[in-house]
Amino acid sequence: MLIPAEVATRHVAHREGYARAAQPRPMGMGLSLSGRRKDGSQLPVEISLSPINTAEARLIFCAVRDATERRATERQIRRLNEGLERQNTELQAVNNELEAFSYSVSHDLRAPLRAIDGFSKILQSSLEGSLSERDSDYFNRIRKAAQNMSKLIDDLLTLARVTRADVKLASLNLSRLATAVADRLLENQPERNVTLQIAPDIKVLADPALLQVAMENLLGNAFKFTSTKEKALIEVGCMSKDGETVVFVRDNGVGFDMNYADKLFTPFQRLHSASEFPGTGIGLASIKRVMSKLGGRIWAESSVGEGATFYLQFARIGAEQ
Amino acid sequence: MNRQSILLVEDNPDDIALMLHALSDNQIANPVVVVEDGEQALQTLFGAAGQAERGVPALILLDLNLPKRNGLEVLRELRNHPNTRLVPVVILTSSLEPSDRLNAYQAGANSYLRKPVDFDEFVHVAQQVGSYWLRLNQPAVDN
Ligand SMILES: Nc1ncnc2c1ncn2[C@@H]1O[C@H](COP(=O)(O)OP(=O)(O)O)[C@@H](O)[C@H]1O
Ligand SMILES: [Mg+2]
Repeated sequence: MLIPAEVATRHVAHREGYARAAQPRPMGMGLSLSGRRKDGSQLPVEISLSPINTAEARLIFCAVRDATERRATERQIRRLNEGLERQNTELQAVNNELEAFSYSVSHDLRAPLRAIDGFSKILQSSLEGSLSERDSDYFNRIRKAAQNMSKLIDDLLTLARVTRADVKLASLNLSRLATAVADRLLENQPERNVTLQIAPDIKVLADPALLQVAMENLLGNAFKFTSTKEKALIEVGCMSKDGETVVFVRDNGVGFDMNYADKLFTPFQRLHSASEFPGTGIGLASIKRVMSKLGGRIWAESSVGEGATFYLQFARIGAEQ
Repeated sequence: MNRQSILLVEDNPDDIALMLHALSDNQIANPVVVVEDGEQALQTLFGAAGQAERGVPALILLDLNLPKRNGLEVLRELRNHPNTRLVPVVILTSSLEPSDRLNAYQAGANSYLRKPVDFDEFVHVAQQVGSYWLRLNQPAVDN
């Protein structure tokens, strides 16, 4: 191993400097060192120095390693990182655009629906008496359609919000949240006979806003799909599966055909007719995204006419960073 | 505009018509002054530069998404001006975005309502707003 010609003179001075206060260390820290081959070509090297004092003299051990591969790997890592940073910036831009998009959707798509519903209602009232039953039915259909589309916009916005939400995990009391959500549902349907059994003090690792979306949709479904029952029973409980917390929401409603069980979690997929059970088919898709963001999962069990049970598995408490 | 007026700041002509209808359905007889963008709203309240100041309304119904100066900018200016610092401002918007709600309250909104799509609810909202802010509520300064 030779010293490249352009540093040879400096090297002598450096070597003497080192010998005066010798201690083990890598040579030329922070610099990229080169060595010279017999044929004059150069190669990147790493050199570590260690002094050894013997009775006769001070020896300096000098280990020289060929760093060609290591430098190449470093260059590759740097290139990959630069690529990732670029992608990250692009994703951030796309994300901002999507945010602006959903914002404008929420404003600009809802306004015409308000006009359709509002002016239909105003016309219907001022024409009252001269409208046939069929005319009235048509007015009602116009209004119903506008209101359904408004619900669809809300649900899509929730799905989009869930997708881009920042997740802050904490140990949360699911029982308390479920009770609050169920109470609100009961208030909106005071004529229904619904028995609620919510196990106390179920603790899960989740994000409050995301857990809210999950419980609103699950309990909303449980209320909706028991609406044809004289006496509805809705249960929220908790069990342990391989040491993980699994929460279940069970109802005694109309149930569904298990052959379609995995379709349920795809947006717009519904197994019941809109005339019997209105809806948009986005709720369970939103919960699925919520659960994957929380590091958990959701699945369901049911048979037609026998009610349905939805299971939510949460990440282990203590698994948060 | 006088001290009994409602100032409605709304750019969508359909929403204006619906709001006027809903107010009259509810026998809210206060005169309604309508302006269709944020700049007009400020001009109506403060007059063009150099002009004498105008009257202050009993209530401002303010949309957020407005041409020229948006609702938040209008609100911030109102709250900076001694004459309008205490006027009740109710935000009436399509948006339920958490950031919109937070910004509106931080800028000094007294209330934040979403314009419902269902017109029966819309009429109900107009009735509640009218009876609360024009009859029940005691303003900071007598009208
Ligand atoms: N508790 C339940 N009982 C029976 N079927 C259900 C239940 N929850 C969901 N489903 C089925 O899954 C479909 C998708 O649910 P969801 O995504 O919440 O949409 P939506 O409630 O708007 O119909 C429903 O249309 C229904 O067919
Ligand atoms: Mg649903």
